[in-house]
Amino acid sequence: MEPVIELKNLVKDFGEFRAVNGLNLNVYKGDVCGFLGPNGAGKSTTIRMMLTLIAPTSGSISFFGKDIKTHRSEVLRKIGSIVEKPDFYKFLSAKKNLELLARISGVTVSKKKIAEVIELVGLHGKENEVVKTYSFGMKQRLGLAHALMCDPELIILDEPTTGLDPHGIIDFRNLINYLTKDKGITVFLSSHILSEIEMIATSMAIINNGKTVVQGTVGELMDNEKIILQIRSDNNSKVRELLQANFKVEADSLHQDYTELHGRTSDVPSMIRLLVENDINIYEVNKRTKLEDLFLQLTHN
Amino acid sequence: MFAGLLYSELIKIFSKPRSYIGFVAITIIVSLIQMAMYLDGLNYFSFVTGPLQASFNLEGNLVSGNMVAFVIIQTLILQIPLLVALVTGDLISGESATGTLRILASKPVSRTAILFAKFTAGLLYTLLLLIWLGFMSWGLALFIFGPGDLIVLKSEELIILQNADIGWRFLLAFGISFISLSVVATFSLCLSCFADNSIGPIISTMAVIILFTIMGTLEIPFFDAVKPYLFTTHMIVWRNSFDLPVSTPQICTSLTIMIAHIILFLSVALYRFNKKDILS
Repeated sequence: MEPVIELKNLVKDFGEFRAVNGLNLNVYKGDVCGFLGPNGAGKSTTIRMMLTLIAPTSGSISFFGKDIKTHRSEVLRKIGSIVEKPDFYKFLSAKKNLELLARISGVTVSKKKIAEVIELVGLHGKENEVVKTYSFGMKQRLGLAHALMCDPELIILDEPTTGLDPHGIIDFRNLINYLTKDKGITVFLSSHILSEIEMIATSMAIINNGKTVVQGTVGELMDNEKIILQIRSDNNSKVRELLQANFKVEADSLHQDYTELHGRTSDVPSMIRLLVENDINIYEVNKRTKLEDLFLQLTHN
Repeated sequence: MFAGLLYSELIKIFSKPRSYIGFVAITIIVSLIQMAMYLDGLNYFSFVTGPLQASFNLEGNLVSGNMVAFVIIQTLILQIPLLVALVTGDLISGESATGTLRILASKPVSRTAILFAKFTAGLLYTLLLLIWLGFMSWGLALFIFGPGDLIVLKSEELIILQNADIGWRFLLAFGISFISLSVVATFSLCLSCFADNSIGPIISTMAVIILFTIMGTLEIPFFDAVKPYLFTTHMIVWRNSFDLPVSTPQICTSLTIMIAHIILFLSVALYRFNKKDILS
């Protein structure tokens, strides 16, 4: 299958500093690809190169099998994007902003379509207010409306949930589900919120120091059967002893307040039953995300 | 697509409060001068023409609309470039500062088309500002003071133009001024491509105009060699429209040099904007 996004040996130098160092990445149709990396890993620089905001020092970027250098307009017509902060013309209303940007999008965008996307992102009733009165979260929503108004085949979003309130984040998650499942749109998004990516991404790429350190489907990268459990009880040493004796678990270093173990999801009910039968009071059981561990492990310099 | 770009550039320009500063400033300054002329214009012209009255007998309506308009334009023409640069110096750098350049440059339009749309919008703004200046200075002066002859004092001569011979000269002067101000607009647009905030290009444009004007004014042999190549030297050629006869070759030479400057500044702007990494 031909990738929707294909980055080959992408390099970007700013003077002596190499921000992106031979990055390779493939994203396929219908994927929700989470693009992760610590601050300064080169995520935003990569996204800017993908959208032709900055020129790569070397390497190639292709969308839908076409090189962005030679097919720029054709390719960008099919892409909706938000890069970093969603900035708009502050003296114009949200609706006017979308109308103006639609005129230069290379496709015909009807007023009905603009009304539809405004409704979809939850800005209905506020579309005639000038953008300078908008909160950051509202601008994020407007950014999403802008990314969606041209019926794109691919959406590139840089930190799209920054500034959104919990309702906004849930709405965003539902929107991404709707776009990928109902509309067949491919989504490429960078985020610092690992739990968010874990919930919505179907594939992931983690970069560090400008290089891809791992890429694959969520299934490949995260074995959901293997988990890390944190158990807070009134006798942590006994918990550790009992579980190690009865289950195939690997205990982590000692913590004063809780016991941390690498175990299997299917064993959790039996573990808790065993601890209760042994008169241990359990106050809290947490499952730490595997992505967080994977991320920390791969990006630890 | 270019029409869409141009339309959006014009909407953006006229949605910003700063774009109206020029119109408000012209309205206030010109109104004040018109009022002062209305109240005390005769004394002003008597003072100016005082030395002549020893040798000549000046009769008729000295404070005519044409005279007032000529005085206003001569006074304001040095300030208008600042009002133009306020808007054109912000066209790229302003978008860079507010982050909207990211959206614009990731659209399926070439950067060359974006720059040409901004350039055209800047020229249209300049034209509108000049038309407003023309209306406020000449149109309003004719309405208030009525038509009349125009006395142009030059260092070595005195030119008296008949009322019937003045209209086309004002139109020619405004036409030449448009080219002069277009040089300023293109220059500030060019500087705008190098900056990520609008203050820099606006101040730099004014600094260069002041510097070149000083170099053009000082009678120092060192500056004489460069004077013909400074665009500010040619920006005052509109005054030649009121010569008798009009010095066409001099006007043509100045227009050619100013258009060459526009092409040069636009080429530099295009090169820079196309190569610019948008990091804001």
